Amino acid sequence: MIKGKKIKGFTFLEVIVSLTFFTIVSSSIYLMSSYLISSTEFIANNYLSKLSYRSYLERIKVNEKIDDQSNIKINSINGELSFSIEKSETPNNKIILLTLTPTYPKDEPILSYWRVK
Amino acid sequence: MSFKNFGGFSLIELIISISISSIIVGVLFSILTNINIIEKTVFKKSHETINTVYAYNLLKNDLSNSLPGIVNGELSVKLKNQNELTINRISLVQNSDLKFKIIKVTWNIENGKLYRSIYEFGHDKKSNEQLIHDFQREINFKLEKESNLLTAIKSDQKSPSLLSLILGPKNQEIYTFKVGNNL
Repeated sequence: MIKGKKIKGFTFLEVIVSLTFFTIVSSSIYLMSSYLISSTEFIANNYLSKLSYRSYLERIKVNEKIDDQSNIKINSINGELSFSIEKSETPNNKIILLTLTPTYPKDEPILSYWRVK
Repeated sequence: MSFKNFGGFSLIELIISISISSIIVGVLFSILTNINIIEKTVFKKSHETINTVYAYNLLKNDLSNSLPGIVNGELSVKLKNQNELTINRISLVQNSDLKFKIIKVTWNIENGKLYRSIYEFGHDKKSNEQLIHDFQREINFKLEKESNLLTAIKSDQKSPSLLSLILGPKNQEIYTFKVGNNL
């Protein structure tokens, strides 16, 4: 015959406290590693996206004429990039400022100058 | 030996404890497996990115420091068959901040792999061939704009002033480089 009364187990409060502690610690570790991994990926993708944007700007500068363009799509290591290009005047009328604004994924605009042919 | 004096656990206690420990082990296992899978994926992608960026910066550096015109009876920068790029460039002499030398650098593409070789000036003997990156897909060079610098050289040779490295036949990634400052 087994006497259950002789067993000294944990109280309900101890179990709740230990489970809460375990949940907090494990979720913190998971969250920290997720942040670390996603930040690494973001930095890498962001850098290569910028190289792709700059490359596009270099290619369009070959043209005789550049117009404002929107919803342009190119490929990068992290998939499709979407952006628009707007031109504006500078104090020197032979030099035009090109502003490339990434629309997806959103990012800071990239500026470049183009000499009118 | 009498089992009656042995204070063991009841069946219900065992079932509850086994259930709780299985849940805890399961949760821990899934967390660690997930982290491991994500870490491997991110490591692979980061590694690929670092190598792509390294190749980009190295090629950009070679083209930015290229010499204009003709060097040793050939065009300083020339592209052959979309997979062989020759660049005569200026480079710093090792351990010196003031002395420069001219070296010839060739970039070759073979089966998605990008190689860089260095030749000493006036010699055709490779001093170093390095695999820069294995892109594991089709890559080639593309002449975006021909240099308008007049040279007394055979007309079939083309010297680029703007050059692209194109990765992949599908979902093309294009990285463009300016040669020197002669656009």
